Amino acid sequence: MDSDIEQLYRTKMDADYEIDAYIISMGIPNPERITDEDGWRHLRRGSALISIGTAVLDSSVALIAHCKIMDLPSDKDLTLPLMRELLEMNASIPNEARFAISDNSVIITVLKMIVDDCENLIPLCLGTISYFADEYDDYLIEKYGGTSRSRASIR
Amino acid sequence: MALFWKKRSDKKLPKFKSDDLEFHPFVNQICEEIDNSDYANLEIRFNNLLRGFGYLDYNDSIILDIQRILQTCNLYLQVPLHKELKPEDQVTIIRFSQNNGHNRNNSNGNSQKPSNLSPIQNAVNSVVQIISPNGATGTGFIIGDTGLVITARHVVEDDGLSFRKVLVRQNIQKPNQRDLEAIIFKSHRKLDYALLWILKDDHFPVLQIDNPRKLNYTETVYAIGCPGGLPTTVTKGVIGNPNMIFNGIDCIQCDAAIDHGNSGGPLVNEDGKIVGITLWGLGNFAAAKLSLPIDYLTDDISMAKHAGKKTSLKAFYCPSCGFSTGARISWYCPNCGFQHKN
Repeated sequence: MDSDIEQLYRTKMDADYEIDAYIISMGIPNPERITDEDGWRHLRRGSALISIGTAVLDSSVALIAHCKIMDLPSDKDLTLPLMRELLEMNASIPNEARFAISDNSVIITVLKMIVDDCENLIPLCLGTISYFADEYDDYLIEKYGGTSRSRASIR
Repeated sequence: MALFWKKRSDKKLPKFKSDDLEFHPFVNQICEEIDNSDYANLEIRFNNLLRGFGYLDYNDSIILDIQRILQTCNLYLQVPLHKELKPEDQVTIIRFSQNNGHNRNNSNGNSQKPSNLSPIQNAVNSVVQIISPNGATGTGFIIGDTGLVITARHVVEDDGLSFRKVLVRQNIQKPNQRDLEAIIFKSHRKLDYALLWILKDDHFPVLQIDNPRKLNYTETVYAIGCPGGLPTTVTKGVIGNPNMIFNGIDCIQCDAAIDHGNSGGPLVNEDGKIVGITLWGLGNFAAAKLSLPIDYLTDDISMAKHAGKKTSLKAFYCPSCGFSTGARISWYCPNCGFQHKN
């Protein structure tokens, strides 16, 4: 009988298999070509570059997907209103997707614990991420992606 | 020093307010003392120095005034940054040269000849290599004579956070090459620049600033840098677009050959004056090398020079956004909210 750890990693392997199967169904015949050394798959849907993978967290396996929206602004008068707007948008986004900050980037992310069969979970996560990334990236970049710093005059 | 034993017969101190430095006897005396010494410097009591220039007391503006007068004769007063000067303190006046020991008066008594180097060669002297703790290298340039350096932020950051201390290599692959420690005290993540102070108290050759708004299409420019870790290299190009908008930033586009390692280096015009900072390239497009106009940094440069090295290095610095403030702050950066450990 498998130990708990072995069971977890078996679940992880099954989830990775489902992810690859979904990627193939999307028209990408070789999922290995878009998989990096840490097991993250990077695929493009529209203007969004989505990263998807699985991770063992304590006593469960999680499906994680995220997409970078923009760089965090450097100016306070852009950062502050951006934070507020992201929090307000988080209140209205369905299906566990949410805006977040990771390493000086604004991302949209989903983190879902895998309890049962995850076949339907993967299209849901990817669909949610790609929809909201595509929907909001241009808007957020145009509004907050620049700088409030201006060029001074040199006499 | 015999010079300063002499008591003046008249009690009234001379007032050297004139800019006619041919007739500046105190500076002439200093130069004569340095010429007669074995070293290119002179140690003098601070009190005597002030009295020689006609001052009885001192403040920052008087020091700047004295520096200005000395610098016209290639002399520089070393002022310690870590303490207030007292009248009995010894200070050092050094003679500096950009041309390997160019003396004010050589042994034949000929007067000093002006530099006949091209403006671009003079600009090259102000360019340094930046070496980050993670091994990344880039280019920087000296904009303040006490060691204010500008470089690209992405050269001095790792994983989105800026380093605090880096190495600055001057006179790369020359006999007088030296490595100096520098502290980053301000940067801007979006505009991708960083300001550093070289810790060593010395006098450095400075790059002059020109107005990038005067740039026109097809104007010749030079990119100076250390591509691939090579010694300082100059490449020539023309302005493809003096006002190209890239990522919401007004950039200078040119076709001067720029490679990895050039980042942070100056883009100079034909007068050898800086107009931009070499930062980005668009893919492999040869004609799309982008520089940040130097006038984005005008306020930061002025504030840094005004505050000085000592004050700048005491200020809070956020490694995430590059914000800097002398004000007392709590546990997070007031600009971006990044939580620091202090």
